[in-house]
Amino acid sequence: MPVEHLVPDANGIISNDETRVNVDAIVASNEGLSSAVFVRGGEHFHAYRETDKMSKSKWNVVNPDDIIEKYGADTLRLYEMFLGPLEQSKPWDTNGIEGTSRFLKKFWNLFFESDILSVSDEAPSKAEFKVLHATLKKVTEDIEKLSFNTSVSQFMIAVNELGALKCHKRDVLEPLTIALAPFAPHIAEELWSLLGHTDSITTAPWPQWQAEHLVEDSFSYPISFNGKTRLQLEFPMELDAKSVEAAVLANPEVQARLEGKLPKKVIVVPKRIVNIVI
Amino acid sequence: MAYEHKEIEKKWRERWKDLGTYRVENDPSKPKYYVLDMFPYPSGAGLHVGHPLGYIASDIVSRFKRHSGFNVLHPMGYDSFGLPAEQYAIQTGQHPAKTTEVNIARYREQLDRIGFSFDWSREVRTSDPAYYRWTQWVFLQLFDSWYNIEVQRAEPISSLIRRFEHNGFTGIDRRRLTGDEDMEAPTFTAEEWKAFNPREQEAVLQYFRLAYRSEAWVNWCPALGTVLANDEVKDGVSERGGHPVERKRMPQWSMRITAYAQRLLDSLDELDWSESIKEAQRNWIGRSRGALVKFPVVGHEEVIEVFTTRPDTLFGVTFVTLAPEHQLVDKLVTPERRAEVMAYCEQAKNRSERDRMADVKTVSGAFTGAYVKHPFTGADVPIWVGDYVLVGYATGAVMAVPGGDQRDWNFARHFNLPIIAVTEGADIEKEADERKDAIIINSGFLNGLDVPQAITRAIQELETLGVGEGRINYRLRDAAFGRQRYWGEPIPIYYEDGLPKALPDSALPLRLPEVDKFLPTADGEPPLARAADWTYNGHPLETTTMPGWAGSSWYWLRYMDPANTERFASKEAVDYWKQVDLYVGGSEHATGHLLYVRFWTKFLFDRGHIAVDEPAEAGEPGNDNWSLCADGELRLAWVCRNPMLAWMYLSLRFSFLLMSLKHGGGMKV
Repeated sequence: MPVEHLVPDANGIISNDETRVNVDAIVASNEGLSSAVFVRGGEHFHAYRETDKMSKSKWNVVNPDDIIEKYGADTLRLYEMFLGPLEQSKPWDTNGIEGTSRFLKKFWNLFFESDILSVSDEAPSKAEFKVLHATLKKVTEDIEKLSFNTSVSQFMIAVNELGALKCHKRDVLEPLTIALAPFAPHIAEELWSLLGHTDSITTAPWPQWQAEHLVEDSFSYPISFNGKTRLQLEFPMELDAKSVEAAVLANPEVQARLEGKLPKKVIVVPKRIVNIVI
Repeated sequence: MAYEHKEIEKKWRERWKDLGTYRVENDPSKPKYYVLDMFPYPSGAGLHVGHPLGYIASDIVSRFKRHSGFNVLHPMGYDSFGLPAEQYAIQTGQHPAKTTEVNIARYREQLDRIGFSFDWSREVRTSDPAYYRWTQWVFLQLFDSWYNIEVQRAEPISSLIRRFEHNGFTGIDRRRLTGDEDMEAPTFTAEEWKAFNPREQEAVLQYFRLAYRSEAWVNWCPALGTVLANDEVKDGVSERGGHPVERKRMPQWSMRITAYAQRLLDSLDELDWSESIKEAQRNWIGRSRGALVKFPVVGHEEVIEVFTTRPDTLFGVTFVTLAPEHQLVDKLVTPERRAEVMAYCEQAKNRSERDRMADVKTVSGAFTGAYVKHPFTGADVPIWVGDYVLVGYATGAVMAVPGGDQRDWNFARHFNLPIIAVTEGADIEKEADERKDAIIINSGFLNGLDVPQAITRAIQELETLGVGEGRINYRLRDAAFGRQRYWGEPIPIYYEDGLPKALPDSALPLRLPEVDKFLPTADGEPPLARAADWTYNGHPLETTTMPGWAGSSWYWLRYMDPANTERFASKEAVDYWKQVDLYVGGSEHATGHLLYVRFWTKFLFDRGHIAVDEPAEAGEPGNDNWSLCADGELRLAWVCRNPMLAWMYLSLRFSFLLMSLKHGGGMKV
């Protein structure tokens, strides 16, 4: 087996008796070392451990400086928080870091069109507001729980959805920038200043999520024929049973399926289902 | 415009610095929020990817709280006294201060690049004389205090001296001051006290001072010229170099944390910490109810006292075992057994306590030839010496109940001593029965009682007969405070005619002296003895230094007002910031650092220096403040109701370890 020098940092040293390394704790907490043999020789600590190809690919970045150099501190911060469900032990694997880096680029691009700053003062659509407030709600609640990986996921979802909506609206991007600031403070400051602010984002009031923007205002009814679902039709939540029935029967696809016949019965369960008995 | 992280990050790093964006003042118009990170020891290896994890998490909360209108204190500093720098100094001659300076610069550079919102104007370094001046001050406060158990509070030693002057230390006054506990301090009247010379008075006061100097058993390694911790000794020799180690009584500075045992235990219930870390502290404090039993030695005046948590098993006592260091061994051993017993004691002394406790396979001991009288049956019970009994714990003697205690059973089996079953259903042919839910048998008036009933009944009987009494015992020991090392806070004590005296406040800080080498002197004195003139007004100064945990026991307070030269922190600052709202640190500190912080906090509260007696706020149900909690299994304490990040922190840290293995890094251990 290869001989390797183990380098414990200060925390690996038993706090009250500073001359020893807590080998048991190191081994107990790390599967990779379960078969390692530790030998103390002189002033050094040697670990005999088999190294395999798998582990080599996992341990190829040593210190945060390298990551910051390549991807930036904001990416490092987000990535360390994103590294996985917190209850799971995950090896430090840099493969995922590209995704985090891409996320920041996408976030940045929400403020630009063809590399030119382009943020509109137009009022956001319902869908845009929904993305914003769903994110604010999730992130606010997650920080309170110190559940940061889920916050990061939510930001990623938001950026993808806003990208799809081609949203470049100030009233969405500005609050979102504040929400991202604790996680990725540099990019947030830069965008904040590009939005025209002269003071630091640090003390900008935390945006409050509003329940009204999260209310679903339509429902997608499964439409079934003799108990078999054939299609989905979306109607406003508040539409009453009669109006739903009328709208369903007026639908061309439903009419095609009825082939001109009158249904024996139409059962509408509001906000649940429509069943047409032929 | 493309996203250029390098430019953007550099620009904002500089701007935050120039504008002092994260500077925080005491601002009573805003609610405060205090986010504390466990400050790092600046090792030579620098930061790795695992390090910042906790810092990033706490930084996110700090920033979130600022956006939410809080005045956030989020400081950082360095726990900069420590062994690696000293080791490096021994090997290279480079002053540890220099090594530490270089390492701190490297840490700072790395921390800065990650964009933390620390208020660096509040940085503290435990090795900075402006900081350790106050660590020394706390030490002197402790030296100047005693614990008044009547009011459960630390008080100035002057109040104790006044009591001695009026009442002496005798009868009811003695009982009040000791809570009926044994104390080696002599009994004296007020007149006798006044007639004592200063040396005699000081000898008494050392039994009361919260920082005190006493003879203590230590692992002494003559070849290395230093005292070793229990786990630095293996099989009677030093782990480092394999030199012989002996148990030796030496004058040693200690902290009387045991005075606070009950309070440290009681207020755990109110703390909103995770159960596992609270449980670790409870176990460490180790309160147990039991009895002190007196066994008169047959044919001698002496009485062997034992503490037992199981007085219900007294009828099962078939021998009594003394620790090899027990003072009575030498007196009681019969002439024909002396040679063997003394040889055994000599050999046992060279094993560390941990070794003796952990090694359950090897049974060793020797019969003294003497007997005690059983307090209930009047039978003669042989006295043995065995190294499984430790002198530092309780009385250094045990009543052996092989039917109910496995180590006693092993001993009895090995030496063919009788074993009596005292619990129903015990199979003493196979093993001892340590159950506490059994019915007592073969035990005279205790027969048929369950264990708790029998304990109460046995204590009653002991007290009636005057051969024992109920007792509360704690596993917690006083903490050794002096180290024979260079790179730590000098203990601000000088010796006048051999009597320890506090340095006056005006002499603080007592700075570390220059020395030619960072090693003990040829005659085994600590490195400070190498200094050219290590004296105060012609009197020799203490040569040991404080342990690693001294500076970290109060750093959370210094951040509140780090530049103060008049006080450890101003009253306004302390009253404004009060307690830590969020703390991220290691749960490997559960029974060390975190207990010492609580101890010093309670002490400073008692002496009126701060208004809180815990570093973190007590939990209130439904309150969504975070406070410290941790998972005992993990090595990272997580402060909130979410211990999970610890896993990730760990995995990152060890990934780093493995990475550095690959890269063949070589910091010394």
